[in-house]
Amino acid sequence: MNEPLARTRGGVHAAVRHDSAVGHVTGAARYLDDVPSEPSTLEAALVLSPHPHARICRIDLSPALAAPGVGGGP
Amino acid sequence: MTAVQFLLNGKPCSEDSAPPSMTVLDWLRTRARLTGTKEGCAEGDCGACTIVLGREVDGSLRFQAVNSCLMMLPQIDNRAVFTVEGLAAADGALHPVQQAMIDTDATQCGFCTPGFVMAMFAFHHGGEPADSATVHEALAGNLCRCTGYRSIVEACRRVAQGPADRFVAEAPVLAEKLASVPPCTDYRCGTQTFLMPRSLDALFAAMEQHPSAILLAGGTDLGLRVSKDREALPAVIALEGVRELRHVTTGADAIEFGGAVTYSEILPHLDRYFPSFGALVRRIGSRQIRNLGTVAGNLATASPIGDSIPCLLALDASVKLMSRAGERVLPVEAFITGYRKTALAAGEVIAAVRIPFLAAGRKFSVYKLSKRFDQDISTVIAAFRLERLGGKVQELRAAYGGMAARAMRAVALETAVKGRPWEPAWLPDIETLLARDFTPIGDHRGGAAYRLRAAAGLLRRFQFETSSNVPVRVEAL
Repeated sequence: MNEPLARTRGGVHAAVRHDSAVGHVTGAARYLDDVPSEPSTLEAALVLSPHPHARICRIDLSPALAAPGVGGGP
Repeated sequence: MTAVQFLLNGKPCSEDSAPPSMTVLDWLRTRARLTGTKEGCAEGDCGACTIVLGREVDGSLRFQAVNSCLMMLPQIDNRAVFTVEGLAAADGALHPVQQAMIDTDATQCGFCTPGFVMAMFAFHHGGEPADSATVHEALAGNLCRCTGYRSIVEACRRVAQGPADRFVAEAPVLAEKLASVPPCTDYRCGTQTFLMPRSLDALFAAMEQHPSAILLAGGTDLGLRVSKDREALPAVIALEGVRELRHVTTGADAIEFGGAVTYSEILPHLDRYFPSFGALVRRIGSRQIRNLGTVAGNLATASPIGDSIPCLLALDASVKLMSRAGERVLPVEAFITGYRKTALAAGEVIAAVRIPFLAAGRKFSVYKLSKRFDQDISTVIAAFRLERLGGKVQELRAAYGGMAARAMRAVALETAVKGRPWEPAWLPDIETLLARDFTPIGDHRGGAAYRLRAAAGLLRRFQFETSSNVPVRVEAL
C-alpha cells in the first residue's frame, strides 16, 4: 500500500510550478502587445452603434474611407 | 543640445533622437525592445510599468521604484535604470526577488509580475522591516487581478529577510559611472524642447526664453497628458535638478522645503512633526508616485481633491514664490484661487513651502475618505487644527477637499465654534454650518448629501479623538 504512494509524484497536495513562472519573473514571457507589428500592418477601429436597439439599414463608409491613411473597406 | 545619457541595466546608453514627450515606458518597449515592462493603465495606478531608478548619493546608489508610464524620457537622464530584464545574473541565475515569486506561486497570468518584481527589488534595497504594514505599503502601487496578494506578500517578506544581492556590490561602480557623465540640461528633438536647469538662475533664464513652457516637478499629473492624451508638449522645463529647490530646513518655528522636494523625501519629516499628515501622504498615490510627485506640484495643480492642500490650509502653511524680480510669500489660502487656479504669476515658481510647527497644546489631524484605502482619489478629505483654552475652542481651522471647486476652509463652521465648549453638545449643528460653507457636487465618488454628512462625521471623529485618551484611528483596526 505504501510503496505506490511513495512513488507518486505531483498530484494531490503537491505544489506544481507554473510552466511560465520563469518567463513571468524575468520579463521574457511574450504577450501579444510585446510582438512588434510589421511595418505594413493595418489597424482596425470599431465604430459602435450609438443606439442600443436598432436595425442597421446601410453603412456609409465614405467619411471613413476619406480619412488619411485608411487602407480600404470590407 | 545634448543627448540624454543613463545606464540601462548597467550599460551606458545615450539617446538623442527620441521626442522628449516619449514616455520612458514607450522608449523601453519600442526603442530598447525591452518588453518585460508592461503598460497596464498608463496612468500610474496599476504599477505594471514599474522600473527602478538608481540615483547617485554619496558614492553609491539609492534605488527608487517609479511608474515609467508617467515619465518623459529626459527624466531618466543621469540615472541608473533597472528593468525586469536586468535582475537575473548573466548566467541566468535568478534574482532572489524573482526566485521568491516563483517559490510562492505568486504569478498567474504574469502581466503584473514584472512590476511587482521591480517594486520588491526597490524594497529589498530600502533596508526596511518586513512587517505587514511596510510590505503592504511597498506593494500598494501594484495591482494584481488574478493571483491574489497573499502569495505576492509572502514573496516580498522572504526577500526582505534574504541576503544582499549582487547590486549592493555593483552600486558604487555604477554610481561612479553616473558621476563621470555631465547631466543633460537642454534636450531637443524636432520642435520639442525639454530643459533641465541646475540652478534658479538657469531656471529663470529658461523661463524667459520659453515663456509658454510648462514647469514639470514630478510629472505625476502632467505625465497623463503624454501617456493618455499623447500630447507632444512643445516646451517643458523640469525643476527636479534645480539645487535651490531641493532643500529641507527645519527652523525654530517652522519647516521649509523646496519646490522640487518629493513626497518620499518630505515624508520622514512629516512623520516627525505632523504624524497625521505623514499617514495621509502614505495614501497619496503609491511609492512609485511619491518618489516622483511633489507637494509644490500638488499645490500648483490646485485640484479640488489635491490631498495635501487641506492639510496645508489647516496648518496655516505658506508658499514662497520666486521670480527674476524677487520673491513674495503667500498663505496657501491666498495661493489657491479657484478650480485648478493659483496666484502663480508668469515667470514665477514655487520656491518653497513653509509649515509652522504646532504650538504646544495644538492638535492636528487629517481624515481621508475614499473607496479604496490606498492609492485612491478622495471623496472627502478633512484637515483640522485645534487650539483649546479652558475646555473651549480658542481656534479651529477646518479645511476640506472634495467639497467645493477648490480645497477651502469651512469659515462658517470655524466662526460658529469659536469660544464654544469642545464637546459633543453642539455637534448636531455641524451639518447646518457646513451647508453654509459648501454646496458639494454629487458624482460617482459620492452624492452631495453623503459628502455633507461625511464632512460632519469627520469633525465628530476629530472631536472624539481629541477628547479621549485612547487613540481611535479606524485605519489602525
